[in-house]
Amino acid sequence: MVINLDKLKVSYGDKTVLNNYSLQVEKGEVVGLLGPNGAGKTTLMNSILGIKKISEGKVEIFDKDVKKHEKEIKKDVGYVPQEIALIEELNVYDNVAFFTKLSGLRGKEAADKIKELLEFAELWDRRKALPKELSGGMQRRLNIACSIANHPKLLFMDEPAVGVDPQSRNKILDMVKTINKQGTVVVYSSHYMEEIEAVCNRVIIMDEGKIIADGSCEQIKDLIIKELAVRLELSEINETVIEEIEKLDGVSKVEEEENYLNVITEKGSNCLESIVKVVFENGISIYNISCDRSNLETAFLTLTGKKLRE
Amino acid sequence: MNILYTLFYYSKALLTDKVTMVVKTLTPILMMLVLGAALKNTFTAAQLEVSNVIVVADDTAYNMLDKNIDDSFLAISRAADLDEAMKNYNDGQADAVIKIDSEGSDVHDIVAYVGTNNNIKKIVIGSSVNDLKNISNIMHALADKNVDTDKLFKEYCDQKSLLSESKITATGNIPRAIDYYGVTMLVLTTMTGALIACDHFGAIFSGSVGKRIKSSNMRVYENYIGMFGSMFLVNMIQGTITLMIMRYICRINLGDNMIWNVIIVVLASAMATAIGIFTCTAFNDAKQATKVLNMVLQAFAFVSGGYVKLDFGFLKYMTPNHYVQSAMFQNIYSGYGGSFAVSIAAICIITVLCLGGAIILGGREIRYGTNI
Ligand SMILES: Nc1ncnc2c1ncn2[C@@H]1O[C@H](COP(=O)(O)OP(=O)(O)OP(=O)(O)O)[C@@H](O)[C@H]1O
Ligand SMILES: [Mg+2]
Repeated sequence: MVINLDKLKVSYGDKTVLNNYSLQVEKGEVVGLLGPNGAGKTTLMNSILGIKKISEGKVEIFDKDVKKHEKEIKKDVGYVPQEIALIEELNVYDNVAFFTKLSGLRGKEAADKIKELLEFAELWDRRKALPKELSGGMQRRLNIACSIANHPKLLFMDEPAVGVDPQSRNKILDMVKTINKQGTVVVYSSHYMEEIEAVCNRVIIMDEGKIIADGSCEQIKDLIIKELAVRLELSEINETVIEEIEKLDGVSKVEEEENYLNVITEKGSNCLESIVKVVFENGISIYNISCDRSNLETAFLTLTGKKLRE
Repeated sequence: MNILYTLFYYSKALLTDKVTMVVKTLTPILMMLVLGAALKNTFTAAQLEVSNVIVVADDTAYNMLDKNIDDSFLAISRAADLDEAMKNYNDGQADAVIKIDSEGSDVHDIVAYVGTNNNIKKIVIGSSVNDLKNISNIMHALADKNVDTDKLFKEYCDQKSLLSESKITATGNIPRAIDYYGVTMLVLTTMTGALIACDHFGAIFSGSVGKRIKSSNMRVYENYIGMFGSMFLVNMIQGTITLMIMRYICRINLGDNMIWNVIIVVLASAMATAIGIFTCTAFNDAKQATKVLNMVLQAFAFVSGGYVKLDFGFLKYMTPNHYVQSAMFQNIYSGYGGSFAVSIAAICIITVLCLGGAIILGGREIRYGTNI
């Protein structure tokens, strides 16, 4: 097993962020950690990496206890921090060179590796530039290049593509796919379903430090296809209409969001008609109705009652 | 090997950080300019204050003194005997009484009773008494050799400019004010290396790059020693430049042994760097650590007599500044008091303890994760 977490407990002061958290990751996987702000994604990664203190539980990587075999394990682990972690006064080349040298490569071997990494990140032409002279997307790519200098067997990527344009994001996603093809297990956190769907073969949906769903993208979609999320844009929303919809057969949850009403209904209950009827009877106009059954964002909404991003 | 790479890349990063370098180099120059101006005023004030001294002496001695004394510093009056002199002195008519035991030009002994609380006056009087003693010793030695002692005395006074502005003590082994504060300022700027180290170390280690380093397989001590080395290098260059500015631009008296001055500055830079890294690790929060360190450094400078020449007795031994200061003074003014070797050893011990402590604390933190 590549990662084995057994009943982790992690707290900040007296605030427990992860409680009784267990997780197993196998060879070849790209695991997506999906969750809103504060779900505990970063905390989870830091705890596995030993950056954050664990109050209870056990962490094993490559079937070895992390505390006992720290140096040996860390040799084969990479980490892309959520914030860009570069030495600002050093140029692109030196940043990669530093981490490459630390991984133990020397001389020509190191020089080749540095070139390979910079070409992989498509930054070879910009090797003389300082990080601050790079675009956000380039910085993110450099951030990744520095993390894989030791050719890790396990790579943690904490929102590696956050805040970049779609083109850069696609480049980064391609990088992740290539990294995985070379045999590296990747743990990838994000707020974005599309990213996770594009690169991960397993999704873990997290909220408030708990695993809410765990499976392949398909399994998760199947899980919620049992439910159907209906989103109505209404001219007005009042208590009565919410109550009446809640009372309908087949409706499991109603949520108000500005002038939208999100209604979760059981699959096959066909209660859409009755919902629309209730709305009309209350003298409210419907501007728009959308039903979405196939994407992970809705799945997330269904499972947690929360939106992924504010 | 990792130590060398860390040292190399961080030094490169720190040294290419031009703004910081320029600011760091300019600060002490500015400090010296301000200090120079401030001390000039101190001296003007001192010059205006004349010390009143009652002299008990026979005619020869008194006339000799009266003729040669610079009356902008010392106003002398005469009393018939010590009893009368002490009576006047106790009435507050004078700052001191000087009694010269002599027979003609043959001075046996000079005794001074100094009662003033004014330090500068004390120094002026002490200085003149010491000078008188030196003169009398010389004349005593030359007495039987048929030398015109009167002329000799005059020459001596001209040459050594008795009670001249520049000299505030007689032995010549104790620093002028500007020399004293020049050295304490040098020590102070060297000690601010601790702040710089704390800041940089914090920025790297508690920042996102630190997460990268902590998750890498680098050993804690490799990382700490590498980082220590790079910051030490920068602080050392900084300290040496300041030393040179003091010596060749501000013309502070730094004695003849510049090599030892450089060695002391280098050791002090290492100590400052270690203190900075230790504080940062202990607090585990760079901002908090910098704040605290800032205050502590001020306190250290004050207690060690860096701002005002006060002696805090035992307390001063608790400040790292004290050891650097006394090592420098011992080197510049040999026989300044205290042991040179002890001061140097203390600097080295503090460095090793701080760096060692930081590595142990940092190791715990990495092994068990931080709690923050
Ligand atoms: N240094 C800290 N001190 C106290 N609480 C913290 C600290 N870091 C995180 N937390 C808390 O722990 C919880 C999980 O935070 P974490 O950063 O792991 O979430 P996340 O899923 O990575 O969020 P994001 O998507 O915003 O990065 C949050 O409630 C947060 O407030
Ligand atoms: Mg996070």
